[in-house]
Amino acid sequence: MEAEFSRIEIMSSTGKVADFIHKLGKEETVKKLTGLGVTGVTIFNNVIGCGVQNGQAEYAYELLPNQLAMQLLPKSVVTIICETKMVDELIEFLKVELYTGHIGDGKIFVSDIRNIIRVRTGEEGVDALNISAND
Amino acid sequence: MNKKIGMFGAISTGVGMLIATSCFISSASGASAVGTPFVIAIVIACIANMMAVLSIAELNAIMPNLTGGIAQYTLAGLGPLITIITMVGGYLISNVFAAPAEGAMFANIMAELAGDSIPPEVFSVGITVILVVVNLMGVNMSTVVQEVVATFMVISLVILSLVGAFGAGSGETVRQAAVISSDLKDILPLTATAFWFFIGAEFIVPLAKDMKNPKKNVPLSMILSLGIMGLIQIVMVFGFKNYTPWAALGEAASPHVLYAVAMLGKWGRYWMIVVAIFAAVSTQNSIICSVSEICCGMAKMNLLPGFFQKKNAHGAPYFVILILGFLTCVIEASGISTGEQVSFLTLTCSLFWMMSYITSHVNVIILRKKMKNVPRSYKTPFYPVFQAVGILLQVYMMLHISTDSIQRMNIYKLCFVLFAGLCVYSFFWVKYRLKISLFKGVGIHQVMTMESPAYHSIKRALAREGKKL
Repeated sequence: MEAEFSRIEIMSSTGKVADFIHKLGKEETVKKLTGLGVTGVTIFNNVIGCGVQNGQAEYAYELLPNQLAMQLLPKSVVTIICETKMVDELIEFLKVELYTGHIGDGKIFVSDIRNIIRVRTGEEGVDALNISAND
Repeated sequence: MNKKIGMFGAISTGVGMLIATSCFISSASGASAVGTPFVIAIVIACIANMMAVLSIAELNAIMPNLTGGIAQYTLAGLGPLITIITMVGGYLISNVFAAPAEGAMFANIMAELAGDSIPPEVFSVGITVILVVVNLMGVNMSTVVQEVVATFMVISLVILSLVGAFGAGSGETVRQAAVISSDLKDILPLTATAFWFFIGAEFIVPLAKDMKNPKKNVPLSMILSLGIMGLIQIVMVFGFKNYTPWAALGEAASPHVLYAVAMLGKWGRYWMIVVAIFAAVSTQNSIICSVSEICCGMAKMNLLPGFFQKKNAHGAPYFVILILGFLTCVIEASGISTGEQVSFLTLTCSLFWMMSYITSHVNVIILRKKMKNVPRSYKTPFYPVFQAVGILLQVYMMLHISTDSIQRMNIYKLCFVLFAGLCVYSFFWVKYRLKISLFKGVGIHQVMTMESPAYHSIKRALAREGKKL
């Protein structure tokens, strides 16, 4: 059975995530995300990593694939928890926002969440995702 | 980054790119042939080019922020052979015809002013030489100056067309039939003539990096620029009807001067002289800047010899500028002055441009199949209707490039010779220099990688060492 909630994790270069954060400061982006059921975002910065290109520059990887040492680059991870029914639409939005066509656009991971619990009120599930009924 | 260009700036740039005084030759030629029904041809050509820019907007969404523009899209879609043929033909060669057309228009108006004492070629060659020198010195007309010039020209054309259409000029109106022919067989072939009004809107695309909300504003500003240009030309046709006899309009070497003088007397002539100077400077300068930029981009991707991107101490790509300037001056010095000669140049240029628009449509179709999952911030609606109809319209215009059968054959002959030369060059360049498949599209990631100068220097170094890539 499909889980009711999903976790979307975007792993991308720090620069691209910084652009995304910049967009989060804009009303239209926030409206769009809210409309897609996003009620919160968590961003992990100051992490390092690399993808299948071993962290090499585009031209270096293109010309000498697998011949260069692994290089760990500054990365960021954006985590969004939302209802599973909204995942497809949200991913389409995120793909367009993150896309440049260059190596390093990042990857989006989707996984199931079994439950969500708001510690302050004890609410669970959808109630814990949205504004608390107790507020 | 401080993104400054809003919708107004983008539209003014777009309309500025579209406007040229040689457009008057096209509108005069079309209007004098069928009268006011020429507006039908204008609307069809406008729609055809709107479809083309929508395809270009989608390609830009797949590969944003690239310097070579359509060259890179075509490289990804149709491979290197077609890229070189359409780009060198569609932008380099076609502009070699567009620049002297504008120079000839300027020369005609200046010759009228100076009398017979100075040959008109002196003016056209003179202005080209000045602009070549200015560009070689690395002096770029700032976007602000370009915008002011473009705005002045747009306002001038809007006023001149509206005053003419409403019969509000100080000159005497002409009593003549509005419709010379209402037969679609006469009207539809004139879409190729009207095509000239609408080329160049895609030059908005390179501004995307500096635009506010480019995903929405790039396609919208291109469409609106074309729409505004279409409206101006439609109103102008009604102005012609009120102030210039159809026959005189068709024969005039400077129909805009004829129209302005008939409508506003000597003040109309002075106004047109200022417009002609601005238009010649602005259009020829834009051509030199944009073509040198495109050639640099293509040389960067190794599609043209490396010397195309060599720059002088002022940072100007001197080789392209000199080649372009030389060819423009040669054509101008050959004594082009009549409306028919200018029309020959603009129609030849249009034919190459039509080919590049067809290529853009085909690129969209190929990339929709090949890379259907790539996120696109903009997709052309009703796919593939616009692409299919767009291609058909462009092919129709190519087949009816001129209503005069002799001129049409001459255009085809010239294009065939240039096209054959391009095919030979492209074949040998791709086969023996690039050593890649002639027709296989290059991966988008590779096209983007090719933007980096390091890519080609490393590739050459590896090739010298005999390493297999």
